[in-house]
Amino acid sequence: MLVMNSISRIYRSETIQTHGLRDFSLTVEQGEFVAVTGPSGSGKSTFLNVAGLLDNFDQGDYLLDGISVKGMNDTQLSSLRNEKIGFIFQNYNLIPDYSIADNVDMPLRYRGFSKAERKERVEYALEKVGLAARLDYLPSQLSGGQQQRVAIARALAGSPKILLADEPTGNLDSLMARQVMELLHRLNQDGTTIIMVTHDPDQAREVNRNVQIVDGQITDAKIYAPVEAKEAANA
Amino acid sequence: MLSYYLKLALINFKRAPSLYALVLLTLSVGVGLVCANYALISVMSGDPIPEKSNQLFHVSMNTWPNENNTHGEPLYILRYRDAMMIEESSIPKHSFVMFETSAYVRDSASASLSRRSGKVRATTHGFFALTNAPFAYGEGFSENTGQVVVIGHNMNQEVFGGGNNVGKTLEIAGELFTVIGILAQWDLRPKYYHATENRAFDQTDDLYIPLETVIDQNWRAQARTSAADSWQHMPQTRERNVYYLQAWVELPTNADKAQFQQYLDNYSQTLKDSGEHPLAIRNELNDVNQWLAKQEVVDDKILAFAIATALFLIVCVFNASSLLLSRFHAGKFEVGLRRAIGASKQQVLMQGMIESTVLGAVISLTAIGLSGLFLALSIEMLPNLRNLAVLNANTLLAGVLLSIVTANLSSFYAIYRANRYTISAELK
Amino acid sequence: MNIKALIKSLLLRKFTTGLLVLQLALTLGLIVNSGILALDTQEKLSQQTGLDLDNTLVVEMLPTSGAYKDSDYYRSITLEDFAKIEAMPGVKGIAPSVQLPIQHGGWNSNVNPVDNPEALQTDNHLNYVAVFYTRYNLTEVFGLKLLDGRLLNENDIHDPTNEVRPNVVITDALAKALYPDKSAVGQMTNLGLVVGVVGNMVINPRFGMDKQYAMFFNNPIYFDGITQHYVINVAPGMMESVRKNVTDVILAVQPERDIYNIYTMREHISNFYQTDQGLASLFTTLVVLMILITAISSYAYAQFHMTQQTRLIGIRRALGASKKDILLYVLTENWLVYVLGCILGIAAAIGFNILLSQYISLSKPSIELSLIGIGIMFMASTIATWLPAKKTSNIPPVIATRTV
Repeated sequence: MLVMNSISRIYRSETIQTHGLRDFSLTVEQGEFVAVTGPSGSGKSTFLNVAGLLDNFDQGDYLLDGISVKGMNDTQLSSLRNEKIGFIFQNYNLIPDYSIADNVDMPLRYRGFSKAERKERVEYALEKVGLAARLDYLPSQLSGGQQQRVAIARALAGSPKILLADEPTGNLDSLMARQVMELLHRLNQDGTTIIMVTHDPDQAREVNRNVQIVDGQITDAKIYAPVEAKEAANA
Repeated sequence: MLSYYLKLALINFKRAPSLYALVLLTLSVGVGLVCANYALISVMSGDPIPEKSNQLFHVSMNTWPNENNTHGEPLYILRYRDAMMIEESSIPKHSFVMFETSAYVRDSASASLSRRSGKVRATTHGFFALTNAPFAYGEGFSENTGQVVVIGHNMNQEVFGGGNNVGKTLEIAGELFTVIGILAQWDLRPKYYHATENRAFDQTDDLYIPLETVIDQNWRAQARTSAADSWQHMPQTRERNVYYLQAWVELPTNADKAQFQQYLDNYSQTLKDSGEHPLAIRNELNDVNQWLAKQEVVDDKILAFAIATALFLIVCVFNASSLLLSRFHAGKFEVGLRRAIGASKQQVLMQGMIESTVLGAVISLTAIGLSGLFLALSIEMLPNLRNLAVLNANTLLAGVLLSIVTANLSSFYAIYRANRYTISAELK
Repeated sequence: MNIKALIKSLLLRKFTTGLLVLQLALTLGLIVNSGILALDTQEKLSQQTGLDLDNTLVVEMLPTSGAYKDSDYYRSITLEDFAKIEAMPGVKGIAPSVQLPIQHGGWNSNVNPVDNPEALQTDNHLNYVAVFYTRYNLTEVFGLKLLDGRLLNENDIHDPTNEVRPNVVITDALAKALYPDKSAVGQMTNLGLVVGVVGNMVINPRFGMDKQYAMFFNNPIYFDGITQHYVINVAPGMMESVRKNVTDVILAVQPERDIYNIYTMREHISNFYQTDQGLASLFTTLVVLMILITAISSYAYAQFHMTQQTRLIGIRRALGASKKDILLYVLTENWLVYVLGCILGIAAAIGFNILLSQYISLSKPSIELSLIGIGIMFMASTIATWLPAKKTSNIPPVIATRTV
């Protein structure tokens, strides 16, 4: 699903070069739920930006769903992003004066779906996150957890191959965070690949694969891997 | 997708209505002023007879009989015998010689003795065919003599109250004339056939009367007249060196033009041979547009003001640019989001341009309204422009285009900046 | 006040700062040049003409009846007009003239001493001497002083059919041009014998006083197709009543005349410069609009800055800056931009002046006008900045501790 091979991302200023990612390799299979952890400034965000095609890289290869993205122009990257990737942000990033439906509808517009198909997909996605009744609400009329669910619906609406979540529960209290995590797990069980950056070790433990980034590289892929360990023990 | 962009544009306008109103006002004033000015210039520099402006030629000659001709250039006014030499030639398809004067007019059948002033074109009969003068009723004269008159639309309205009055009799400067033709409304801008003495934007004439008749009646030319001999009465000018007639010829082909030029030069040579042409032989044929350019009918004051209005428009665009840039700063998060969910740079650019174009379209409406206002103001301040303050289709189109271009120009930097931002920088 | 920090903050907003500087510069350029146009026009209107502008009335008319083609009839009516007008209270004198001083075009002739036709070659102005075919008293009606010889009188008859050259009076400028070394009185020109020299009046304002050549004949023109001007010298304070009644007096003599214009010489001159005044007014209108637009920009610039820096300003306040300090901070920023604009604006004024002078004649920018322009801009931009600056200074220090 996602194959990164010896990726380097270097930030240059006038005097210094910093590596955002250094000789970074990672393979994520279809249906995996991967938690990415690491200290601040370790390169988590760079990884997410590169993986999400928001940022380009300097060296290495990146295959997304079997397609090499190296050397693609902006239009190609944009349509690939639109088709294959769904983003979930810590701050939800809903447009405050758009209705819930219009927010979810946004990525579908750029896909060029017909009006009927867009409507169907918006309703389906909102149903999936349990907000089908709130189509015409404004984001401000919802709780934080509900807003994040709208954001997830927006990410889902275009049936992406992979969801990229950046601290999706960072702004939520524990109850709401729980609901969002359960939703993500459900989606994962339905077959959606998810990569989630998180600070929370407990959340990391819930998922079937852990990746820790330090200084732009993967250190020990099994650091929080009790789930896998349990499975291994059971085996 | 277009309808989606239009919807987004409307949402954006609603988000900051006062800011967009300010942009609208600024650009409308700027475009309106430029348009008003453009309207004046486009009328001033317009081609009054596009169907054959390159086939009609004004004739200037250098036949002044003394050596101390201080005019420098060949004269644009001719003496009677030079003019008749032109009339006699069969080379031009049409030709006429004429001068301008005025007379007081009344309907001879009217009980009232009050008279109206009318501008008179004393001309030979070729005038009507050469200028394509539009007839509403009747026709022009075919001789250069006779007590007949062709009247203009306005005179027909004023004296007779309009309608077909061919055959009626007018009292003009105390003489009786039969109306044989009535012109339709004739707006000739510039009035190329008399573009000298700053008269290019006078209205077309009220009365067209055969040349010889006017000379016989001793109505003096009310335009530039230069005399090398003394004279008292107009009939004397037929023999004397009095220069007051202007001549136009229609020469459809280059060969005709060359042939006619030769004809003029031969005439001057015979004068020279008989010792009557002390100056160099310089006979000039200028076509309509050359002649208008030579007469500098485009008012320099308006050109100077055009520079000022252009600078003003630039200032307006600057103003709008900085206003719209602040709008962009408020909205860059949304651009980042759209990019993240898969909008390409082109799509974001397209959205920005469609928004600007919608804005431009709205601006064009107010700008055209304002340009009418500014035009009225210009005439108030420069009454000599009264006759050219027209918003024609050209100007309206230019106004719409200019509005859209300036609106796009004003938002260009904001859109450019929005697109240059690293997408991820705006999102967390 | 830390100017360095200010400059840095301006540089952070290169684009908007640059735009505002350019706007200020262009506006100053336009203000200065509009000022020049207005002053130039004022100067033209108030120039010395040698004429008594406020006490000279002109009546323009044309006969409307064919009877006037008979010049004897025309003359007799005119003489009756004169008698009736001279009898009006307040009228000091009347003379007819085919032309006026300060007009476009006119009646001109070449004039030279009979024994010196070469004079025409050395002084081209002698080819265009204004010739006044008028009654003997026009110079008096215009109020021109006699400098040498005598004025014309009723006996100086000019019969154009007669070969004898008439007696003429000329202006001082013409006398000096024709006879630089001696008195012109008693000299014979190609058009007549000079019997007197009068003071100069402006005939063509494009030339200096020493080129105002004019010659006067006692020979009124009676052509029915040519506009007749009655020039009337009115006693001070009587203009109103003469102006009101003169039409009736003339039409009472014979009604078939079209009196289409009555004006004082003062109005005549302002009419002559109407397009200059019109252009100056157009420019002034533009200046007002431009100052308005630039003020909006100054406002938006400061306002935008405020919304961008709310938190930073809050921190400043929390660290002990007073409201006045903040107010001054925002205003100083504006003044810095304004100073840059003015420096560029002087260049813009000069450039604009050169550009305009390709089309119209106008004076060079002066220091006084530039200073006035700078003053106007200072007021406009300071007023425009005041409101956002005031708002900025009202940002509470507590903002600093809030997380955004």
